[in-house]
Amino acid sequence: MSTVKVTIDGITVEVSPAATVLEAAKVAGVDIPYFCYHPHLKPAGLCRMCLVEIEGMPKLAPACVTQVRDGMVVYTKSDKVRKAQEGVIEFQLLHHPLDCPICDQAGECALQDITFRYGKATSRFIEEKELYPTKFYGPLIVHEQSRCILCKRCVRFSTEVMGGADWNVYWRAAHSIIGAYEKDVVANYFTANLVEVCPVGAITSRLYRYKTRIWKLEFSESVCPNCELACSVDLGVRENRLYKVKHNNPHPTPWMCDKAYFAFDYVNHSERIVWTLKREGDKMVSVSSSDAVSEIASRLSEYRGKIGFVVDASVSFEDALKVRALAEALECRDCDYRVYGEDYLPLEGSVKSLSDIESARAVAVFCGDVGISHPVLALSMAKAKMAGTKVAVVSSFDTYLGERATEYIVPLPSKEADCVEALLDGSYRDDLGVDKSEFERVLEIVKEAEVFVVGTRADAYLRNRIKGFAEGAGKKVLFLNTGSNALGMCRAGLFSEGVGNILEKVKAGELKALFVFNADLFNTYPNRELVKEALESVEFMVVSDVFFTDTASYADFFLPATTFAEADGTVFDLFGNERKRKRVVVPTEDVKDISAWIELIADAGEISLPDVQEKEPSVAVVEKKAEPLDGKGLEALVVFPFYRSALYSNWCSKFSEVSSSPVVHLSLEDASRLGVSKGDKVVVESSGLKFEFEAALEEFLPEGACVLEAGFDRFPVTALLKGSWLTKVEIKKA
Amino acid sequence: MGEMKLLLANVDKPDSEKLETFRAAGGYERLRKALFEMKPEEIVEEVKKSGLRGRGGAGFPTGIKWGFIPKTDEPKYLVCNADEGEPGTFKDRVIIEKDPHLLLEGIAISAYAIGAHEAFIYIRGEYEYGAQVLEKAVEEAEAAGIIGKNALGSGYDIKITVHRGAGAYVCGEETALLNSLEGRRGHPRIRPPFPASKGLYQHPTIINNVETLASVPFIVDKGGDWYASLGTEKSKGTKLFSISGHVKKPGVYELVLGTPFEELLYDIAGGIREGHKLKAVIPGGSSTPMLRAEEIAGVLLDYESLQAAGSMLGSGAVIVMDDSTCIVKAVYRMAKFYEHESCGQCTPCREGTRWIVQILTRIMKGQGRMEDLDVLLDISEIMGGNCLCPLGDAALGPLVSGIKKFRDEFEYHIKHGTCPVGG
Repeated sequence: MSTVKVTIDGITVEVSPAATVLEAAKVAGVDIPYFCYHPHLKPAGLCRMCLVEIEGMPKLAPACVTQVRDGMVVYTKSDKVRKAQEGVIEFQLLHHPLDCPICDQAGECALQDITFRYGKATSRFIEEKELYPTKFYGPLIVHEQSRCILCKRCVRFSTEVMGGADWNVYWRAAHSIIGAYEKDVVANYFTANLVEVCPVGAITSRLYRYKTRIWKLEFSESVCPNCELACSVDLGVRENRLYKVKHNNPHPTPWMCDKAYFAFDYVNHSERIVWTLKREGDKMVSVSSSDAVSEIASRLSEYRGKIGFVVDASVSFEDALKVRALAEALECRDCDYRVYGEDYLPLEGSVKSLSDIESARAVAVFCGDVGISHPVLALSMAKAKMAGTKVAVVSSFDTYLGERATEYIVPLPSKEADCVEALLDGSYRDDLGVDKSEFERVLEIVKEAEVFVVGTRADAYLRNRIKGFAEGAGKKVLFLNTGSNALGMCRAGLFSEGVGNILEKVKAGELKALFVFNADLFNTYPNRELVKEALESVEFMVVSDVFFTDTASYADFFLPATTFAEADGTVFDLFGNERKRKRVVVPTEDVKDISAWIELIADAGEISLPDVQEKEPSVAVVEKKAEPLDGKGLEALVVFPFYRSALYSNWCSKFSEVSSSPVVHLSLEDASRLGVSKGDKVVVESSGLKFEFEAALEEFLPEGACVLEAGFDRFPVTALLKGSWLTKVEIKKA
Repeated sequence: MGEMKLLLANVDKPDSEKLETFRAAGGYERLRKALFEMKPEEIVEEVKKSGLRGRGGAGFPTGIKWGFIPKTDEPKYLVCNADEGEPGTFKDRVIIEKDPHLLLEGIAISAYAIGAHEAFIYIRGEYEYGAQVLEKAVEEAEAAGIIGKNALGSGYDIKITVHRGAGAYVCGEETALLNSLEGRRGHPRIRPPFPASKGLYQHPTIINNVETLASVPFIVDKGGDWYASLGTEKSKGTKLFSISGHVKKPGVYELVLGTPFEELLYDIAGGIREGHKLKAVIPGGSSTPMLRAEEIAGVLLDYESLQAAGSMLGSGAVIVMDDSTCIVKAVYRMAKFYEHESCGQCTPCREGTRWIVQILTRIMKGQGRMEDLDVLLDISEIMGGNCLCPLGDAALGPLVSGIKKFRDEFEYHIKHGTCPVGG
């Protein structure tokens, strides 16, 4: 590509002819101040802070929107420019409250920095400042219009990236205000970015509000533990406490989701168990960790060959290897990470990066709620759709991407897989219960699609079917897994025949002892009865976790575990890339990572841990499951809502507050038949169990289907389930 | 020079807005001529020759603007800017309400000339009656087969849609108008790209003022050379002037460009009210700098003469102020207008207009300080040329000229806390 020469303040640089003056200045190392420009949003030219003088142009030009020309000569420090810069800063500060001492943005505020560098120390303004009331948009963000400089970065993020319109400018002129028109609560999975793009303290995080000062924090780059995107995060720590998560390295995208930004405070939670506990009758008592490990080691020798190992898929690759080493040393094969009852292992589908998806002409998404399971992936698909990629979503329940997709069909949960199969077969069937013309439109996109994205609800049979089809048709596939390190777990060989199988074996007495790492099976496994029976019949159980969960209450020993912020470790993202977690908080008291606990146990029991090799998953041919849905009433899909889907959500104060009570989503038809309106309390009943939910009405849900939210503390919805996340329930108004 | 009725030829007839009245006076024959006897580029050529300049205020040569439309197959649009909102301007309203078919004929010819099959009339929200008249006229013309599919049997389709704005002055700025027309917030766009390459729905678009488009049929009828024979060297043809304020006969008058200012003021509009003397005029709408009484002597109403006098022809909206006028109050009222109408996107316009009003309010209350005048002039220097769209500059016209030409009045307000003329 040819380049052009531009001279900025006497420094000549060669840049692409498509570059702007601002970009060229960055190459030349010349600082041009700006407020509204953002490297990942479309330039807007609003703030006029970046005005520069260009030879041959009568007026000053905004550097952020002015394209370079060959031979262009630019001055950024001329008297004319200085006057404009001082003027713009003076204007911006006229009604600014100058409340920096109580503003969370102070220290990383563009207005502060630029005022110090380019502004005058005095103001000629003697009128009364126009101030606005503070507005709390729900638990996550707080908006201070008085501090706003109306750069519209947040609005541009909302409209350009998220594709929404509610967060916008209202009123006009100097009385313009930014905000949400319809909503009192702004929590849209990507609220974090509103805070992060704001150059001043107009939008701040309620989690971080008045907690500390940015210059007191030491930031280190690590990886978000919440999903397989493994987004780069910068963890800000002060006095061994994690206060803030930022996203400075735009990997894999420039944006982050609310799980990364708002769901980390569990790390500092006062309910964390940091001591080693041992069961004494009905009580758990604190013991020294050395006593505990030697006791555990001696008990293990009794159960050689009869121990099950269950590990959450968010633990690091190294920890997973160590668990397998212990299992092998004790001649045990029953170890598994699929705590949500998945029957599938990660599959290779040849998608190597997000750009494969963003550059595709068309993408088809099947069986999942990508906005919840892999938020940033959903965001980049929504953005690609706005840029022209056709996106079809086939999902029984989708809370983000569906409404932003080109086509979205919502089959009954029991027909979801059939519907996908029919699309692969290319023929409509009446029994699918979806509209024929909608189906045909989706089919067009499926045919055209270069990439299939397979969500976490698709089972092993369907995954193999899609893989086979895609290979035949020359399409790429991206298979999504639950948990942030499923690929690492699989590589570490930490799988057998599923967590359900381990629980059955425990229940049957084939396994006598159980290790559970970082998983609360009562919350995650879709059969609470089975979990209960298994844990009641197990002879010896060790639980290592961050909090004292329901599962831990059955343990003989509780070993306090590290969080993602307290241990180095490797994870593999959904494209198979290695990503490194970094220890930024020093574990306190007995808290140790899994590897350390296992080594201590091995030392104490003189167990020699073998060097385990990575294991290739054998992709078995899986038969289609034909489990008829029994019972009366509506088909009920149980899901974790976004704001209960992060690790340890229940201990994330602001984050979990967004989803304050469990909701049942009903179709309009069913709701009107039941006489239920939005916000009503309804009773959901199945096999004698009753749960009270709050009703939400969804236009897109088909009649006969409902969706129940799980993941709430002391609200064991998994009791309704029998191994699958789909069941039948009866609903009536409370 | 003097009065000449081209655009206003029909407006005084009974039922002037009806199709039959218009046709009886030879209406739509120019469209027939254009469609059947002329190639689009010939029309563009005639308009170039005519020297017609945009009548909305900026005065950009219309033919040259049309020439920017790329010769591609993509859809093109013509937009008629009927968002007549500049204080003092009410000339387009006469055409809209009294001779809507003249406008439609001009639109149809112009659309054909630039290769557009769709044209929009963006009319300001406050012109409710005008919008009704236009809608009725479009209906009539469509029913008569004059516009719409296969206009006049020529095989050329011209669809005209009337779209009402919601009352924002800034939507008269062409890119804000396009945003509003697309259903977005009426915020001006960054240029480039210019509308001629990426306008409505990102396609090539020409936006012309009502009066500009209504002048096109006469150019097609009698030729560009004939039109260019009217007026002065750089200001051709006739222009509507809406004169308001302290004259005996305010109203809309059509004059050949180059008519002496004093002829309009004293002969045509009947002069200043009895017992009063002329103090100042704003010659081209509220955004043009005001002139002191003595400055209009010998000035001609054309683009170059008014520019030489330190102001602009603008939209031809002449606001006349006699000696009963408090200039500070007049400037304050206009500053309030611009503060209210700023779109709020760019910092200098948003903050500058508000600050100006705050300072002027204080001066009006008798709490001014002498240094305020320099601050006001300095604010205008920071705003001037640094805003995203022309609104910021427009806001400065009356302020800067008011302070520079009537500084003594401002100083009187500041020193004495009262008004020298009791305004």
